[in-house]
Amino acid sequence: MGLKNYIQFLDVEKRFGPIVANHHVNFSVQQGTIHAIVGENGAGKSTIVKILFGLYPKDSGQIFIQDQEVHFTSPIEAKSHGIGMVHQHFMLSEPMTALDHFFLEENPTSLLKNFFPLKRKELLEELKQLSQKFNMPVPWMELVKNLPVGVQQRIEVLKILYKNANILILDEPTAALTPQEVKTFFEQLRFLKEKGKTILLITHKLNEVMSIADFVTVMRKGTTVSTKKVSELSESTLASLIVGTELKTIEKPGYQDLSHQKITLSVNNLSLTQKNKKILNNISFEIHAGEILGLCGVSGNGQSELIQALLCPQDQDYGGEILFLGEKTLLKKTKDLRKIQVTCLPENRLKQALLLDQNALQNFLMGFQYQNNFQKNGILNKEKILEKTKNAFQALDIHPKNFDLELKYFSGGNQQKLVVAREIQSQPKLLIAAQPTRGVDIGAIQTIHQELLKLKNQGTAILLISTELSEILSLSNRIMVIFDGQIKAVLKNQNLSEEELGRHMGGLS
Amino acid sequence: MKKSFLGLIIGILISALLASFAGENPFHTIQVLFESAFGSSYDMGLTLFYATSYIFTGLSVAIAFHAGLFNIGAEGQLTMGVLAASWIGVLLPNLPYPLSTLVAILAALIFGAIWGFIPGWLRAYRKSHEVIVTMMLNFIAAGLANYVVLNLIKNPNTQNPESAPVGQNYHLLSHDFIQNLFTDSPANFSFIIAILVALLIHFVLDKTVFGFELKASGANEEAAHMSGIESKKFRMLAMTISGMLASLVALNEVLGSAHRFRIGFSVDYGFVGIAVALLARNNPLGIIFSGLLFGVLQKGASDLDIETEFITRDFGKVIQAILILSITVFYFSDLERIKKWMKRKS
Amino acid sequence: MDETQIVILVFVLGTLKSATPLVFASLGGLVSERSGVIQIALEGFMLMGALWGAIIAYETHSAWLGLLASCTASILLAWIYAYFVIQLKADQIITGTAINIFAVGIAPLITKVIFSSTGSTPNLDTVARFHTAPLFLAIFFVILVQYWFFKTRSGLIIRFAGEDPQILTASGISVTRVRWYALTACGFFCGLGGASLSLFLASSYSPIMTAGRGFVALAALIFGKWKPLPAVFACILFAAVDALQIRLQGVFPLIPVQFIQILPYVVTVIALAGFFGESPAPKAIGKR
Repeated sequence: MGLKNYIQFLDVEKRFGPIVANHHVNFSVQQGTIHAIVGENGAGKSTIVKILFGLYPKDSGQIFIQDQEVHFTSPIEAKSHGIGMVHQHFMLSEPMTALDHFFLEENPTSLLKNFFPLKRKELLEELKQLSQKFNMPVPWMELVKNLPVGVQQRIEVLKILYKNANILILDEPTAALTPQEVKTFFEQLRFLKEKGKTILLITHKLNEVMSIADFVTVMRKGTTVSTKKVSELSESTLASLIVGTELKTIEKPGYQDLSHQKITLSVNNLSLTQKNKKILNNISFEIHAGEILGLCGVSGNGQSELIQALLCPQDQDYGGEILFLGEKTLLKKTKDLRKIQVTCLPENRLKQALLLDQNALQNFLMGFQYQNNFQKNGILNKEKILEKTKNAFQALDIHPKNFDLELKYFSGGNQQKLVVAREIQSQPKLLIAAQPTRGVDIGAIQTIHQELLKLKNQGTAILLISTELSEILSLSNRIMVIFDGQIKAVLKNQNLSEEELGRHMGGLS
Repeated sequence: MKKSFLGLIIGILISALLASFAGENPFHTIQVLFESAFGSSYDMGLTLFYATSYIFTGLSVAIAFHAGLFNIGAEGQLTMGVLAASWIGVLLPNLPYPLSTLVAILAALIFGAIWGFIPGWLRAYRKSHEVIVTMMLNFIAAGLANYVVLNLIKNPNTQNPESAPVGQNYHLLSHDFIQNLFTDSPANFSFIIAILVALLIHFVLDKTVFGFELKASGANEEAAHMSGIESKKFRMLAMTISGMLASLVALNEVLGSAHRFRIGFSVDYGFVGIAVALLARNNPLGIIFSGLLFGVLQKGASDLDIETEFITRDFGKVIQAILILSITVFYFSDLERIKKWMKRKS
Repeated sequence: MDETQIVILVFVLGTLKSATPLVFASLGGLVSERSGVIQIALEGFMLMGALWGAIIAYETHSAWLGLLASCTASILLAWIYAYFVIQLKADQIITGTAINIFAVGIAPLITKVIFSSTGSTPNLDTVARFHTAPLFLAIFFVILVQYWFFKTRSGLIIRFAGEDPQILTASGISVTRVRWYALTACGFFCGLGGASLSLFLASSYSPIMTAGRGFVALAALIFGKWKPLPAVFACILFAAVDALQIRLQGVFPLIPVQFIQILPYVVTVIALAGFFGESPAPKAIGKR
């Protein structure tokens, strides 16, 4: 094996406004190894590699490559130092061929050269050799849109290798791959390692770390916790390193047997298949009145699709059935579900819940415009809306108390509090609360948690979807873990260890 | 509003600058413009006449905009409306009075609605871009109108490209007070109707559930969807209403003044409607005023031929274009970015 | 050659001649739209080109200088458009509409200042006109664009700019710069189109002589699914139908002339509705 401190991070820090994304990041990567970086959502994994790749400038600290300090201000500089990165979203254009993308990687010596005929044959020959060398076959003349995701990924990796990169950064490379493709991909990664490449692998899947990585750096809350040799590590130690232990102080209402309560929502064998991939795989669960059911999992494992299935069943062709108070809802429209009091805090409030260019009143009305006290014969009762909005602003302490102000001028926390106030105003029978406190300050988190608990005590069934383990643990009665579109476990929230949850979230059982 | 006003001022300044480049005293040009627009009761009547149609088309563009759609097809929609009204009026000249007007208006509304529904439906269910579809429909409408007017209902008594006059019973009001106020000018009661329609649209958008849902579909389609609003349906409806509003130009043109289809009657009502709506930031009440302003410009420019040496009546178009450009820049971009850009350049 | 052959030859040549400005304009629209910029101002660019082409050809008695002036004028107007939509990020459709209105409005002012006429330029003598050149230029440029788009790196880059500009950015290529170049080329082609109107099809500039050709060209471009050769064939098809209509008026009076005239627009709407198979616009088009 090669240099011990091939890449070295020393006290790297990065802030986005008031938010600290990375601080005291310290670790080294050994040449010719596969080095995994793991951590929960928001632990700062992506940020640190984006700094390495020149996408973000760091605020302080140092980065060394082969003991030379480097400052990359753009990906182009990073590329010239032999660093390449495969983004989570591929940089591939669907109506173009795989070959086309490689012409962009050339640097023509003069502007005029751009008008000379493309040397397709030569490049194709060169690429064929490249793909043979690294054992990564690609149908070069096929349009990208006709290629499976696994092949697209290969193209992305080859784009990096074409630029003679020695350091490959892979950001969640297996997120969109089928298990079979993952297997092939890992074989190719091992092959690249043998050829002397250094690979930085960002992942949240613990089994992947165990099976392919040589070293692992664990990050938590923006900083590096430790770097270990994988062979000296057990899965459960890794899981506990990721979640940390400082969460235990939070008070939990814990488990309470609610099986005598009537069932508000029952989901049976719900499934959804897209492009031959099972996005939702036979999901079954039930929520009783007055229960908070936590759903945890790393984002992208089917949570968004589950929310869509519950709230907008008309959009897709789902298998299985959803029963709301004993009534089948899969054929219903969102409008009708809202009328029978199913409400939702969507996971992305900006895109899915708010009208940023409209004022607070309009936003408070969204989804409740048919309520009888808000309208009569289709005419809006503005006084009533104003009164209700005022009360809601008062109750949840939403600032500023200016009802004509467009919502884009409110802070994230206040925007979210408004959505919460809106969705709980009619004491819904079922509330789907997805990431209810994402990106909001501590004060708002407390308010929102209090409101959710109050609602639960009044008999609402709540499905709480969150990537924050502490939130799930402090609010839920029972906890479900979703992984790869499947419910991996349903656990009573008593004496649960974070390690146990972390293991399930990483796909281990 | 402040931003639109700034755009307006800058647009006027640039236009004046351009006039002085052409060798004219810009103040003289502006003076001619105002005298032409307000010089006599006839002049004012003509200004009001143009403004009436601009208000209708401005409303048409605005309501589509509220639903997140860009209707540049007001021109075609109003052509269809005017065609329908004059066609009915020629075919059934002897319908009794109130019925005749109602039938004509209904015919105009239906034709306009169809011409709005087509792009609305195509956008909602076939994902066709409404801009290009409405643009093509403008030409199709012009072609159809040409055919009907010149081949089916041509006025046999004149060389002018126009339809035969509609029956007497189709005149909106034989002597309404607006006609009396502006003698001999084409101004008519439609102006009042335009204002009433603007008030109605304001009411619908501002005070009804329907208006709320329409605006929500336009403001954030996904959020509207999650709130149980059927955005596709609303967008389609908005486009249909948009077509109906544009078709109301028939009131002003056929029932109110010319009483026939004159080929080339539209002084770009549909396109200027975009500017009218933009300047008013799509506020229906604001559109009354911006419609009036563009009416002044249209009428004002008509005397530039005679009163100035180089500037022609088409200079009105130049002013319109410059106003559209400057208002657009201020409408869509935040000023900070422009400032930053200018700083970087200098 | 017998008589029918001559008739057919004349018809074909006439069609190709009247297709020339359409072909140029749709090439201009193609470059612009494939780089991700909606182009509804073809009409305005062409009109300015036709006007200045006629003016300079009249003053210098040289058709080629007229052509040069036409391209210059059209490119300048295209740059104004580019400044608004690329730099100021103004809405492309509104800006395009304004450019069209502007061109129609400013043209009479120019003729009045220069010739004291309210619209037209004086007739050009034969040396100041083209007789065949634009036709050959059109053929040349069609082949060139086909080659440029699919066989060179710059053509590839333009196509990427219209589909996934972020990929260019990731590879260190400036999308802004690419679009400026594309709009310059668009202006150039519309200039050629304008010159073929006033110096080739006609022998002077007359008011609004583009007569909707910019939009027919756009329709052809969409009908041809944003590909050079199909778009050009659509232009020729539209021109042929138009020429046929004039010739056959006596023979088939049943089909009204207006129906033939709106045909390009009707087929375009049908094509847009996806009834002739999928017709996807460049993905990044119109995104600011």
